[in-house]
Amino acid sequence: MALIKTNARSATALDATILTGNLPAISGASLTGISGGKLLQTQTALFTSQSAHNSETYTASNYTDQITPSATNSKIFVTFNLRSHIYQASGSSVRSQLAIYRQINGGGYSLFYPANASVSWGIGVSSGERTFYNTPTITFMDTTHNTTNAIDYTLYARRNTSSTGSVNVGGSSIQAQVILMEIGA
Amino acid sequence: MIDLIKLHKALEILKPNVQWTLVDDTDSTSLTEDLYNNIGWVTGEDSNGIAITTNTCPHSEITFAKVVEEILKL
Repeated sequence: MALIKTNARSATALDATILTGNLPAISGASLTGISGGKLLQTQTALFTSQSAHNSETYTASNYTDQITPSATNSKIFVTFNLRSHIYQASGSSVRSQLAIYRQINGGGYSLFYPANASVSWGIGVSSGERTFYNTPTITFMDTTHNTTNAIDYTLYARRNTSSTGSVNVGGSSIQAQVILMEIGA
Repeated sequence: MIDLIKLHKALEILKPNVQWTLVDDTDSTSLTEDLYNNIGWVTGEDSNGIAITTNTCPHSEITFAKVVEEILKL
């Protein structure tokens, strides 16, 4: 009597290690045990505005962007690319301070990075009028947001207390970009 | 956009060491009264180290007309 072996299969009986050749399309939703990518979302904002910060306390630029994390334990990689220039008619130093302030769920801004913000860039000279241009990049990882509410990051700037002169960011047709990336835990 | 350094120079002439801030996202290359009225004049500091500002100039030495006049001299 002939013995016929049926080709019956079930989702649990199929030995995936013997699969070769052309396979049928399978919905990703049917797969398990897949480790997805760590980059969960990106946000970018491009600016061509400028601002003056002739103060010895921080004032906001309009370089800002917002991200709403999908998980409380994800990380936010933050980058600000900008141009800054400083001017002084006379004196011995002109120094700027640039820092990123963070706001969660519209609750008000507080200094975030660097936590002990001090002179970002500047120069000491003996005399004479001077203007300097620079293209700073501020990059850091926010590992402490602990929220799924919207987070705003904004560039703030000021003069150093031992300095005089004019601190500015941006300029006519000068681009600045803010990049925010949520990275899975 | 305006020349922020010229604006700084003009304000320094009218009131040395005056503290202010301005965001300029306009296409105008000269100071307009609207933009002048957006200058944030620093009056203090809050607990987060952020300047407290007012758009009403608290300095009698400084007016829009005087600032424009000084800028044109530069």
